[in-house]
Amino acid sequence: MVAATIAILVAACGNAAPSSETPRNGGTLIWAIDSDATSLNPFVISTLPEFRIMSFLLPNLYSLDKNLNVVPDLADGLPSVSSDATVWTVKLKKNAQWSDGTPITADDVIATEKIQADPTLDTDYSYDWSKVKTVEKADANTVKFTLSEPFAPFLAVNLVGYIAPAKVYGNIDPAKIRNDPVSKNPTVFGGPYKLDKWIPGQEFDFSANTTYFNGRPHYDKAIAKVITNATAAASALINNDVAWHPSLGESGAGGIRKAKQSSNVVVHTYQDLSYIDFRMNERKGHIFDKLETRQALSSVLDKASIVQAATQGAGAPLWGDIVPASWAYNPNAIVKYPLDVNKGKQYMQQAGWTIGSDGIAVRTLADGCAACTPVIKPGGQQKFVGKIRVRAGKPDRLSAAEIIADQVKQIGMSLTPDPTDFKVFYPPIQKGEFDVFIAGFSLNGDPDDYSTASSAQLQPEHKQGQNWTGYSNPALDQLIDQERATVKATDAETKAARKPIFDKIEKIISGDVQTYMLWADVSSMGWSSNVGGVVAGNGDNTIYYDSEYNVTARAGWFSKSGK
Amino acid sequence: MAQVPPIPIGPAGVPGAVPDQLSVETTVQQERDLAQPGGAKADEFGGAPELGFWRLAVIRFLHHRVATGALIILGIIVLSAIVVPIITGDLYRIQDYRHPFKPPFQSFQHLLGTDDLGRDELARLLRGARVSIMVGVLAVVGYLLIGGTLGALAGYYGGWLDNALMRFTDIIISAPFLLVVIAVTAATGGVRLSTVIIVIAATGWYEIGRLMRAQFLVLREQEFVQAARALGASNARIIVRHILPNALAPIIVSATLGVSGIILLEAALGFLGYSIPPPEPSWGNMLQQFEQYLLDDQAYLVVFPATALLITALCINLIGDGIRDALDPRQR
Repeated sequence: MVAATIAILVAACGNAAPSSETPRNGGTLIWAIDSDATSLNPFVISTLPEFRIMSFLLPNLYSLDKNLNVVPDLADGLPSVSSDATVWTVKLKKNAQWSDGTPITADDVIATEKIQADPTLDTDYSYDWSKVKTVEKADANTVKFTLSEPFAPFLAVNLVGYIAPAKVYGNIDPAKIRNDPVSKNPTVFGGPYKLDKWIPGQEFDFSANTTYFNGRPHYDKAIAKVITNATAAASALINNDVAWHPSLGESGAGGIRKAKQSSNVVVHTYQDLSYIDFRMNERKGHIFDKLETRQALSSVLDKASIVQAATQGAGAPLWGDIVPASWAYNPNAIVKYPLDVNKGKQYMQQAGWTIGSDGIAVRTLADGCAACTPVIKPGGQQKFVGKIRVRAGKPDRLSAAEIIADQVKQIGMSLTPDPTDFKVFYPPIQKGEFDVFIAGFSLNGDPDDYSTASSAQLQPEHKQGQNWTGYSNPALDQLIDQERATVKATDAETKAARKPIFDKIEKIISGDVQTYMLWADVSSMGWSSNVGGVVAGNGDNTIYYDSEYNVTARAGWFSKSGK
Repeated sequence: MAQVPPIPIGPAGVPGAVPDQLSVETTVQQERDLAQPGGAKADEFGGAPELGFWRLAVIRFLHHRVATGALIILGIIVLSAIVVPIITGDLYRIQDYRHPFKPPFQSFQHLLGTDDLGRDELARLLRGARVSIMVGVLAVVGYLLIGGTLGALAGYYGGWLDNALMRFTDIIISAPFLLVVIAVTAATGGVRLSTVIIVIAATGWYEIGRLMRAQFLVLREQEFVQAARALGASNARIIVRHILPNALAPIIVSATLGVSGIILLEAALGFLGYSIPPPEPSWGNMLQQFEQYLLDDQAYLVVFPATALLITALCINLIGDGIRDALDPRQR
């Protein structure tokens, strides 16, 4: 099965040179994890390091390969979809078993879904199973999901994820699952490794799960050492003390450069599934309420230079909200505003702003603005003055805010960077009481942007959602609903049918500057050159050996020296 | 500690030293002389030069070579922090973000190089010095006002007031400083320099408060205070005119050392993102922003503010030591 998986990866990759190294068993994989876990309960974990630990221990139903395609893991092939696109049938591999020798069956899948869908589940991570009407066991190895309506993201969002053993978690009250003893001491595993020992604050010790259904992992043992400082972990990698540093990018441009210079380290740099943007409050009466104002902003910012200066190369300039790593990315579907200060000034005039003697733009607000600070009475004057909220401790975002604040002065915008702690940063945004904020968004394998762009997800107007901008566009809403409801018989057909709709969506989002996109994160990981079986994606660019998605990849790594 | 050469002084030059004879006819002038040892006249035993307590302290301080050197260096730093930004104006915020990281000591235009956004490092360093020193001085003034007042009241009146104020001090001591900063920032809707100063002053005065109380507890029992009381001086007059001047010496030392503590605290706050917001630089936020370059060719961006911080704090501590030695009556 491992051979089959690697074959798929190589086929998808196309241009990767076949490895001359033959996988061999043995050795210990020592790797750096950037923080200790607070829990090892798959329903409770919420941080990236915790998910990284979990990727050694539990199988996925489906996972994302290095090119972000959905591939079966515990499932036997991609799901079959009924002709009305509401019934998804998933078959499981018949040979799959837990580390205690019992088979992994439909009951485990159903129990996992039930716990995730339970509204009382005490977890920091959010699961959304609201589109699912029923989950049934067709036979021991077949699960049938019946949805209330056709829902395209179901495959990449709901079916990609862990399956937990029903006999361990099925009888725990989801409301009390966080503090159940099993959260600290998991006993049954279905992934490539078993957990032998967890020494809090120090390390996690794993040993090979020889009955892993995709084939025994090559390493006999693995040890995750807690090294909280990314620079220290980079030194450990260079000195051969650890063989994998998944958060090498955190050690900055200097750390990456040093690792690349080292002959015994292999570094892969890849565009991640997350982006950073400049999100404006576009509600009526706020400074960025007019399209022309946002076009003016876009016209005076030299995005490529700003991203380079702010991230030192750890960011790829972005115009739409689909990142280049996604299958739906289309650079030709995006509206880009060229750098043109005069055009920016014209846009400001069109939006009703005139630059005052102090260099700050001013306009008369016929209706006033009650939600603004300070409150503007009807017919009152409004100055283009605002704050750019940034989370403290994020130097790249703060640098971007500083450059932007400096550049937009040319068109009369007076914006001040305002770094605050996350606890202070977030509440005003949820209430819609802000001018601009710079934030990061993590994406999943589906490019659907319903939660950040649909007017059904406006915050605080609705109780949920992440469309904090106040942006509302019926044409965009309709396109988003359409792409979500487009489900064909196969994943490839579904993608082909959704892609032109995403092109239209991106045109609107980038043209209307629904949010001023800054960059897609570029992450780096480092491996010791002794680790074999590490495969990069398209053009050595797309690689997603992260979070919960690469259980199979962990099993494929091997020690070239056998140590 | 530098050796302080012996200086001849009269008995009146010692703080708290009081002539043994007090007559009912003591005049207001005499009362003042009693209260302010520095203002005492030449003693009747003759011979010794006429040197007041404070003048003597200055002379002793100037003989303390290390402290004097520190004072000169600090003076240069403070002076350039005041003068240079006036001359260079907006230079500290002028960006050249397409050509960042000019290395230091390569050109006169950017003597200490430029930062990640191409801003002049020297201009930012001096501008940042303003923030650091201003926070240090203003917060210490806050310490003195709050701690001084409460300590004096507690020490002078004693009883339930002392008890209440000291329990209040205990509460302040146990207040988690960082949480208070976060809470106040949240409540006031963002980080401002005034907030930082107020929070530091409001949570850090207890040391000076306790010191002041201890001084007052001792001094209020002294004969010269009893004498003033017997002469019908009001409580306010006794506190301000009689006890306070005698209690000042240890307070000055503590306040001086407090300044360097606060400068470091401000840097720590800046490092956590809780100090003055950009583009205004402070040594703390400069350290925070460039920590990521520590292992890199751009390490100078960390080294300069860190060195400036170190030198300033060291100078202030040395000056504090010098003042302590100069004001200590036992060191002759």
